Amino acid sequence: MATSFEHKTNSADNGAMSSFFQPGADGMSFYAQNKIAEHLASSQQQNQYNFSQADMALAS
Amino acid sequence: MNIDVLIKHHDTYAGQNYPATDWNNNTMESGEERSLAEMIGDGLTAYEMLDYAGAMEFWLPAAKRGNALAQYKVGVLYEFGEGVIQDYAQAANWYLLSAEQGLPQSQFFLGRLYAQGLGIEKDFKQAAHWYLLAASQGYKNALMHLGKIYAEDKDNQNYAEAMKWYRMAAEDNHAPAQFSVGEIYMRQGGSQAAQQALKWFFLAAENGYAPAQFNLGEMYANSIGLDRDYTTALKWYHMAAQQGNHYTLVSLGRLYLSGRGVPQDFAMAHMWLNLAASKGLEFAKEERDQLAEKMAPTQVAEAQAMARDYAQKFYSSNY
Repeated sequence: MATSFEHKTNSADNGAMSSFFQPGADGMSFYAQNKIAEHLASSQQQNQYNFSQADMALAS
Repeated sequence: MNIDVLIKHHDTYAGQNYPATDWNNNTMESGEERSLAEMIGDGLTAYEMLDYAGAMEFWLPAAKRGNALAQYKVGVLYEFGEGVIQDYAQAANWYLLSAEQGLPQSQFFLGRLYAQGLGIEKDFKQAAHWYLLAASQGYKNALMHLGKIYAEDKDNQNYAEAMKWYRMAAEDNHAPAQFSVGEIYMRQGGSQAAQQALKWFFLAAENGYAPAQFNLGEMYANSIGLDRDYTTALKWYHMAAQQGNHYTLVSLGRLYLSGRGVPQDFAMAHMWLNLAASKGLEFAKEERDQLAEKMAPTQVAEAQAMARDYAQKFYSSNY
């Protein structure tokens, strides 16, 4: 069985990375932030498409 | 940064040709050496009885006589402020004396102080140097921290290099390393990388590593790399929650709050968010308090009692 000295020195930060899904101080994870960014980018593209369709309709 | 010069140490590790020295059971033949061993043993007995000042009284003279193990132990007392006022510079001095004699624990702890800039100027190159020397003697935590420097240090981020070191420990069935390999795949993005990440998270989770169990819960609940499956997500979440994983408690709270995968249940949501708040997560506290405003006082009291019961059952040593 490990002594408490060994336990202390072994349990110091294990060097693993932090989770991709771990929420930050604002409660939102890296993953969620990426998802929102993707969603915003795709809806912006959609808006641009709709806008140009409307322009063409007006021009015709 | 180029650390190729140091890779030769890694070759020793990869070949499993660890030096024969067992520092904890070093054979001491002379009368003087036997007395050093006794001093170290007596210090350890004092330490186990929480008499840290007493431990120092045994270890410091042995350290001054040049014993590497005693020097390491004195360094630990200074680093953690046990029996002495915490002093990172003193810790670094003692670790250095011991590390130069080749003790892997000291090499690792000295590397940590360099990596964090505690007691000595932060120096990534020095940290990597000492971690590699410790790793070359099979000290697994040193491999992990070498990986961490490359994965998370803003000035030296290099996932390929991080992967190299994490993977070495991961293939030796080290759960935190398996988890970290999965994390690097997640950061690469894309469906193939997610599949690889799943494989490594699964290995770490099966080894009982709570952060990997949490990640699997997230991937099953949010359909990342596999089909959505709340039953399996809940299985992994509960395993992680029982070990006290902070972020799992939040995820469980949010599932019950929104009714995703489980019947909507404010009392259960409050219980999980309350447990998360008790771990010091400020945003969980805010979410819990906002939820409490929508609940009757009796329902809040019921949720608080459930949180107490859960904590007593699974976290009794911390409460």
